[in-house]
Amino acid sequence: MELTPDSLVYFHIGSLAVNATIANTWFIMALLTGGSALITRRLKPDVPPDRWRTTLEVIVQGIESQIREIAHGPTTLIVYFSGTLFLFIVTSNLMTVIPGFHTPTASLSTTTALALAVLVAVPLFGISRVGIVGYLKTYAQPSPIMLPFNIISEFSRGISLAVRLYGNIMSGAVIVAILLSIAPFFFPVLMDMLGLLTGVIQAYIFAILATVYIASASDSDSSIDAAKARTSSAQQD
Amino acid sequence: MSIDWVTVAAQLVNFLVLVWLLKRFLYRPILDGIDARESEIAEKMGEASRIRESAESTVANYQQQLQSLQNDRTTTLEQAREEARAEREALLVQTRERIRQEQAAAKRLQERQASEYVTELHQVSAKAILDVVNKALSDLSDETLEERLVMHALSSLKQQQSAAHPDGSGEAVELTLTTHNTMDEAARQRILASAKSLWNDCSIRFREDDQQPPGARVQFGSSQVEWSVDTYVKALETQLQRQLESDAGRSGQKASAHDEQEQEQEQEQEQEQEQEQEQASEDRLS
Repeated sequence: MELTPDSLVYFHIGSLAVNATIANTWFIMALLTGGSALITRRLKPDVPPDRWRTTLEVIVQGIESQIREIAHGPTTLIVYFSGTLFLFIVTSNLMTVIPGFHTPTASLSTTTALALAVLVAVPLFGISRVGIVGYLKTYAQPSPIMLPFNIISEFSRGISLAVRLYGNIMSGAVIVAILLSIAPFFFPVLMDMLGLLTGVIQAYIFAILATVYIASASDSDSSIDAAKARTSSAQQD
Repeated sequence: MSIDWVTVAAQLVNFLVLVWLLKRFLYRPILDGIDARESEIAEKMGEASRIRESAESTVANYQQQLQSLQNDRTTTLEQAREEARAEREALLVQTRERIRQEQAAAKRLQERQASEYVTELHQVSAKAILDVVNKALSDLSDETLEERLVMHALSSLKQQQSAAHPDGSGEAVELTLTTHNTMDEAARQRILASAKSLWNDCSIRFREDDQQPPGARVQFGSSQVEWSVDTYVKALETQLQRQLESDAGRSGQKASAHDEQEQEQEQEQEQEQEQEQEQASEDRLS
């Protein structure tokens, strides 16, 4: 039994082996981009919005409002980054219900790549907000003694992001596969339903934590604490 | 649980590409559309607010104009009513004055006709009396009327002189006798004889005057006695005048009573017309 779709190679492009993770990622990217372009291609102020456009507006405004509650100041770039994280992860997680579809988020490579993106984005957003000196000073807060611990914390939370998402999604896929071999008619459906819920929650947690990490580079502690509390409650659910 | 770092790199690139694609095809169009719609809604709300303010201002202006027109209409109606009332009063005054003038003219005409009638009656009566008296005196006596009048006048003169001067009968008397007609010599002798029977020493100077009425006027010094048919005619005229005045007074009282009754009827009719006009004006106003 394969635990990762990285080993399932579909074809090669030069020396790059296009495995199920990359191919399905492209598929999800095409799905998201094509759907968005299809809905927003005739978007004009004088044309009344249809139900698809309204749905997209609700999703985007929901993402924006969630980010505004956490981060202060300009949030446009954070919306692009964290919103893309959420949409990609939630779409990937919801695709687990399709039989034979190997969701990219069940690959540790994908979650590691996303965690690396967050790990790189956090200092970039922080430096763009408070400058490189101001950002580096945060590692010596509240005391220079905390510098190594803060550096370890920076990497450990990236690892935790990657492993948490991978573990939840991969475990769900593995459990469904095992149940299919044991009780193929009823229990896999229940687990799929549970997997949908878990996938949405994990996408939310990943995006919110990424936003919190980015906001922590320049925002006050109060908003970050509030966001962390909200994330903790979501994890408990 | 293994990590394919080539896949990691590819996924990292894929994610960054996805970020750019979603920014290009999802976030920017949606957020720009929302911003555009919000600005459009704000602009339309502002325009609607301006239109509403303009409409409210227009409505207020129209209401003010309507109120002004109603006030003008009321004022104009009241003014027209007052003018009509004043004109009606003026016409009534003119009509009453004209009626009064016509009544006065009719009364003057009536008086003039009565006067002319009295004059004519006076003349006719005088002529008839003269004719009757002349005929009666002619029938009763041979003396002419004027001779009898002269005799009567001499008697009256003698009585007046005796009353004024009881002891002066012996003085010489010179009388002047003026008659309308020329008296013949026989009549003059009879008159002289009659005068001498009254006065012992008297002489008479006879004169004629065409302007004098038939009769005799005897002058003696400062005394004068006139006795003519005018005396009777004037008495008759006075009596006739009294009679005519009494008749005219009775007819005048009847006419004035009739006029008062007509004026009362006219006033009642005018009051009824005023009430009808006021009622019609109130109905039009309501």
